[in-house]
Amino acid sequence: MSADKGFQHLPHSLPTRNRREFIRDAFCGFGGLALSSMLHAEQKRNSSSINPLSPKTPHFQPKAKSVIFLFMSGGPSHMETFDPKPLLNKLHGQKRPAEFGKAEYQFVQPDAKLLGTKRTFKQYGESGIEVSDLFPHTATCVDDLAIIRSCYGDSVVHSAAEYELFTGRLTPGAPSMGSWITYGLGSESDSLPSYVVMPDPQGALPAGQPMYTQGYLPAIYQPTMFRPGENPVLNLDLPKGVSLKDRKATLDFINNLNESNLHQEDHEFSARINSYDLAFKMQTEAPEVLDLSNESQETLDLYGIGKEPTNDYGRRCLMARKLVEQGVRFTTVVSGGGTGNLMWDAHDDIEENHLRMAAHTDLPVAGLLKDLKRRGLLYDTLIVWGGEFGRSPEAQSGVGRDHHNLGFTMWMAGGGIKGGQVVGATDEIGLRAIEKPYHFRDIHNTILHQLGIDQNQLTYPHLGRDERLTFLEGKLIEDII
Amino acid sequence: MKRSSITALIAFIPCFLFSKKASIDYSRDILPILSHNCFECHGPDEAAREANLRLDNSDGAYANLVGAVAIAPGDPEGSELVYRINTKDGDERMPPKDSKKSLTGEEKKLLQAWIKEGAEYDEHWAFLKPEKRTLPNRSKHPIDAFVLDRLKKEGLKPSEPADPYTLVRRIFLDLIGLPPTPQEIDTFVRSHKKNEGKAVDNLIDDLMQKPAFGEKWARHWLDVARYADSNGFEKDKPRDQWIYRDWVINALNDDLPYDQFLIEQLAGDLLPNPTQEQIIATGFMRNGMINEEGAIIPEEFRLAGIVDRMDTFGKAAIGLTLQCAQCHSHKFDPISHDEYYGLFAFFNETHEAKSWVYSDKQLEKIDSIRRQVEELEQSIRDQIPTWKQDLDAWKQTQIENASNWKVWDSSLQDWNGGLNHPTELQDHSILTLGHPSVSGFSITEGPANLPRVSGMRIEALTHGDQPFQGPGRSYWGTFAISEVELFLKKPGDEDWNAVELKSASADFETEVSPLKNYFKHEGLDPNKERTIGPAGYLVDGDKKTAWAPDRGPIIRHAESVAVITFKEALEIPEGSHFKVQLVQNHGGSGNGRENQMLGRYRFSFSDDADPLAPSYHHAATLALEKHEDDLTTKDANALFRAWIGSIDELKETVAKIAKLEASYPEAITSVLHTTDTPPELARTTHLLDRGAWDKPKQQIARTTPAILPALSSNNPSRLDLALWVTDKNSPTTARVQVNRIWQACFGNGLVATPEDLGNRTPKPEYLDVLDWLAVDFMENDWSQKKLIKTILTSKTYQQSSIISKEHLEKDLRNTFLARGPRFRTEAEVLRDVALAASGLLTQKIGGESIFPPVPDSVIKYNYVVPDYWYAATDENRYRRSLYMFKKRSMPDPVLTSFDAPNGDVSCTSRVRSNSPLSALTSLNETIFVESSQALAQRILKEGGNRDEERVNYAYLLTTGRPATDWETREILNLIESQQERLAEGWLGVREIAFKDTDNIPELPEGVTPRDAASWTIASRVLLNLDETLTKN
Repeated sequence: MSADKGFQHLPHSLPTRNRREFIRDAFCGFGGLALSSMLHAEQKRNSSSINPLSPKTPHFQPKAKSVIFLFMSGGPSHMETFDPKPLLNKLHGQKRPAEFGKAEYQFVQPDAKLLGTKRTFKQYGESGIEVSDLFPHTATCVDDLAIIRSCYGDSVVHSAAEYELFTGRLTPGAPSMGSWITYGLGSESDSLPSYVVMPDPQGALPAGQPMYTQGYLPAIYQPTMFRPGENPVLNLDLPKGVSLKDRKATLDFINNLNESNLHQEDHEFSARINSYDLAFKMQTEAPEVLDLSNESQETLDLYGIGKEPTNDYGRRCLMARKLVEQGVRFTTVVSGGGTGNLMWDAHDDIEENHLRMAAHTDLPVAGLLKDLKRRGLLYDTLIVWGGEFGRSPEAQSGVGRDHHNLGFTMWMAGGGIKGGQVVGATDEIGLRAIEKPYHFRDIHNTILHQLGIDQNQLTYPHLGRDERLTFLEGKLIEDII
Repeated sequence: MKRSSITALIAFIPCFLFSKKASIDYSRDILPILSHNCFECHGPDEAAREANLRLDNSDGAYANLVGAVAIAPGDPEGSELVYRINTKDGDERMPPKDSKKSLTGEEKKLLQAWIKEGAEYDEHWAFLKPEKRTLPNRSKHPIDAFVLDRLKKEGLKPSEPADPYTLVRRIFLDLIGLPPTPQEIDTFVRSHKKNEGKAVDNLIDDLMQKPAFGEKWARHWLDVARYADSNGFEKDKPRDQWIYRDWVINALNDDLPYDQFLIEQLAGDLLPNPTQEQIIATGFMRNGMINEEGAIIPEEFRLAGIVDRMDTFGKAAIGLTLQCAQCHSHKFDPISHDEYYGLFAFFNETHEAKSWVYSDKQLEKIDSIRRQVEELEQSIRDQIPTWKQDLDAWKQTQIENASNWKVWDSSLQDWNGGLNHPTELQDHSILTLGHPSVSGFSITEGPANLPRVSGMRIEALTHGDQPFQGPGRSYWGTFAISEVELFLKKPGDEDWNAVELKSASADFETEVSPLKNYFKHEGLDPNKERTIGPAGYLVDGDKKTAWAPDRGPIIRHAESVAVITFKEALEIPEGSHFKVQLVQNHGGSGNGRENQMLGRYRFSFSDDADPLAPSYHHAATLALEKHEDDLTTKDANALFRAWIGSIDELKETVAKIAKLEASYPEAITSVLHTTDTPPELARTTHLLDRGAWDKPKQQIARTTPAILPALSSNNPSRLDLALWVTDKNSPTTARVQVNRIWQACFGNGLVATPEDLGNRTPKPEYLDVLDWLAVDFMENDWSQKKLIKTILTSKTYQQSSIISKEHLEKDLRNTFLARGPRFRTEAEVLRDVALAASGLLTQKIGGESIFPPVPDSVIKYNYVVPDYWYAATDENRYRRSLYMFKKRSMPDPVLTSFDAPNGDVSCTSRVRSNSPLSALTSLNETIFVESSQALAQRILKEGGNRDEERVNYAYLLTTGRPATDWETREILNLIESQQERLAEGWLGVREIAFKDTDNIPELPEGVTPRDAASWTIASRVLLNLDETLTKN
């Protein structure tokens, strides 16, 4: 084959490296994915298609095509949700026994007393896994869930922990997992962004937008934020007075004039033409996803849409399903935002906070799982649920719980995950992950693995290093895959 | 899948590696293979080295280790390495399986061929001093001489010169980042016809004189300097740092020699008698992020900031990525873990300083006040010839009469709720950094240190990590203490018992005044009842009143003291504990911005009856407590002032001095910058185990990496480091900057990785050009303007950028430079082009950042909503993109879509991509919409009366060239069809044409709103043309 032929159909974004550098990087890991996908793309696409987000072949047979991350921001308590601790209730009001070891907290003082939970746990499903009464609906799906009770991270403050959960680093500047996955796999949709974040309309989070963004990856891998309000996607609405039909004419016209351009041989030129085509498709088709009027009442009810307190999270979960149907790779649906107590950040009163936050999300989450399942989508859609940390076994301000990163719970479902099981464990008071502890990088690696991506091959050359999502190598959570 | 891609890769190799190279070049062909596959275990990192074998130098590779030689020069068969890379034995095969690395067949062949040729190790090209190679052709421009010579060897022909229209736009965009006006185009095209060389020469000289030159080139440096207008992280407080941006703009416009440019930014504060400008320059070091989230350990994030400074220094100045060596010895470049911390020490042993910045006029005034004060002081010395003896005698009396204070060594330092973690310093003072609390109280506990206590002293002290040295943490560096609470717990007591306080005195009495509106707090103080005033407010039982000693601009940044007496003296049994709470409820509600915390404080106790604060400034008391030999000029001055204040006959002079000092001006802005820590607060540097901030190991002294030339000084300062970097023997410094400037002009650097010239970076194709320019740069006193002119006057730069079939096949990425540069303009240029073409652009140099219009949904999506973000509606709305407020947690949606970096870390090269979101931005975003409306009106006003003329004018404004006949017809067809649709009412005429439909601007005679609307649609097309968005 001719060596240069492949370069006629480069993706939109060329790494700003010369060719030899590119090959050098290829040997150093970068090319593993980027180049192979390029070559693959070359075989697959006809010469007119240079959509950078068109699907790319994974490194090995994937089990999932899309990911929905149900982000419970602020840090939901494991002891109130999926990790019952009878001993904690027995030791309620006492100081933590020394044998459990030390913990660094944000606020809790060394003399703080343990706080028992008021929640009750019941066994559900064939698996008989215990779930608290905060999640009666999610509990009915427990046979689909793989509950990881032994998660841990490196930071006990929100912003740093959120960066680590999303990007694998404690400081901003690195790409979010959604951007990495889009970079690695492209999108199955040719009219929608491949990576969407739906923030909670109540407000932003401590780590701000940089935790969702593409970091040092090119801007085509940036998230599209579906913001609250009338115009969810920035600049998607036409300028005042302009109709869609005229917009189409304008774009055709731009392309027409551009076609007479002397630089047609330049791939950057073709990339630009293509970006305007995509822009138009987005303008026509994105609003359709946001429109839920074609859904049946039964479906709306399943998600709790049309009633409080589930309407908002339910709508966003349903939109996530529609995005998955359209081939969007990664969707983050955020629960919580604004000031602390509007997140799962129950410093003052664990009861008040978690009853409220669970009531917002339980039915929609269960609705999403059931809806995906009955449509045959859960099979290759990976659902991940969790926050940037859990909460302390000790009380803060009497009945609240502090941040806690040493042991907490996340769960996964669908996308090839073996449900109906619990992996790992914290100690008897929920302080520390003691059995099969899994770091965020292990969660990341498991997500990548389900998508058919090898963490060591999905790299990007940045400042002299081949960076990857997992930073230090992540383990696989073998039990659940 | 994987295999197929590797196979395909092999097919690629011959085209790149062997195309024209006769023999193997170690650094180009071999080093990348070895460094990637072998150095991790057989490289410079001693700790990770396996089998005692190193392959990164000849001594190691040729050594006979237990009977085997890894590399036997000239003898592949006798080389263990060759056996190891080829063996099928899984245990012996290299690289080992678990490294997940493997060599391709071609790589193996290369290694064997290299060993056969003699296995010569060269020193890495970038660590050798650059030299000017003999020009292949002396009659040509040096760049062209090298390039033409190379093109000939590559079998490529250079492109035709770019036509004058393309050329003038290219030069405008590169030099000032703005497009030429139709008049400027015309002037250039005419003079180009007469004399091409002279026309270009004159154009370059003219543009370099424009202030816009500094604005354009500042943008490049600000990427490297990770400039932003907010702190980042959760609070993401806005910061005043624009004066640093101004400094960069001015430095570039003044063509400050690059060595000086670097020296001032790295160590301007250490230059003899540094000017305010030189202090501002060190803002470079401080552009990184600051975390002030609740409850953080400040030291963790201070150290993260130093790591960031190292990273920036490595990329910006010496072109080496250092971060790998933070956790372990560098696997690829010969920088050890120790050496990393040796460099780290230069940056670590500094304060996180912030200083006021004054205008020139203010500086004059300050100087004049200082002079007058000095004259008055001199007049006193003249008037009292025995002043020295008198002062000594006064000191003696003070020392004898002073209250006895025993400094309290506390055992717990806290802030209520744990939001802050204050730390105790060696002198038992307590330093509060981190979270800026607007209300709450500090908690200090510890064993009582006297058997009988009748009073307590609170010292408010300065510290280099506080704004303006403090002593407070407010915007002004001041503080306010609402109340002091003292508790005692005797042995056997269950609870703390409050101690009844009687009175308070201070060294400086503040007049009663209402709290500044800046500190308003709707929740805490809805009726604005809080006041500030004298020390008595500390013990009046009223938390609405506070002691807030503020002596006024400049002199407020000094120590203060308050002395508290008790209702009754306390008898303290052995084993008793005190707890002190400083209630600080006088902050505002701006989530930290408006705190009034005390930054550094110290407590002492006394058993003297009724202790009192001296009437002179606490600085004098501190000086009295010092040994005579330790007195600084500042101490001596404080003592002198205290003494003259005690003499009746000097009352008038003292009053004059006070009056003069009361007239110091409030500064215009401030800057975050760097200073060294003073000896009494000296920071030491330790190697951090695996880079973890809380795992310090052995202490490390300041050193530079051995791979680079040695430092001349034994006990080097940061200034020595800066001088070392800019020494002409430093092999990388000039190359790094030449490469970045080249990258700005050509889109790609001569070295593709401008941040990294280290071992993994192959020898660039045009090392001869890079080195020639680097040496020339240094020979011309590091003049960046000269360097840029050299590049722009080359034929290489001035070639047409049209890609021919031949280029497409042989050199798509333009590595060999057989054509001119062509790439989509950078985010800021792209936006500025729209503003300039439409005539909206406000050209005003420097000053504060401006707030562009941003959708509400973006503003609201901030954890701390920026309540200061009012989109500019005046001329500031249309200032250059360089001045847009850069809020780290709210990346600007326009600039980000065009790949502008966020300023989180130093960025030396931007990626370029074309996303649908970027297309949507330039079609629909507010500023672009307003630009197309304004452009339409400009065309109708200035473009003549005939539609053909207008189209031509429009093309000149946007693409920089006249329209072709075909284009003119097409545009006119568009306008005609839009006119019809507008006439039929399909489209909203006013909404399309005007920003404010209620206030329609005056249109030229004969022009209707419908014309404006149809031309707005045409303008949107023109602003979105590839040629408009691209530098051709």
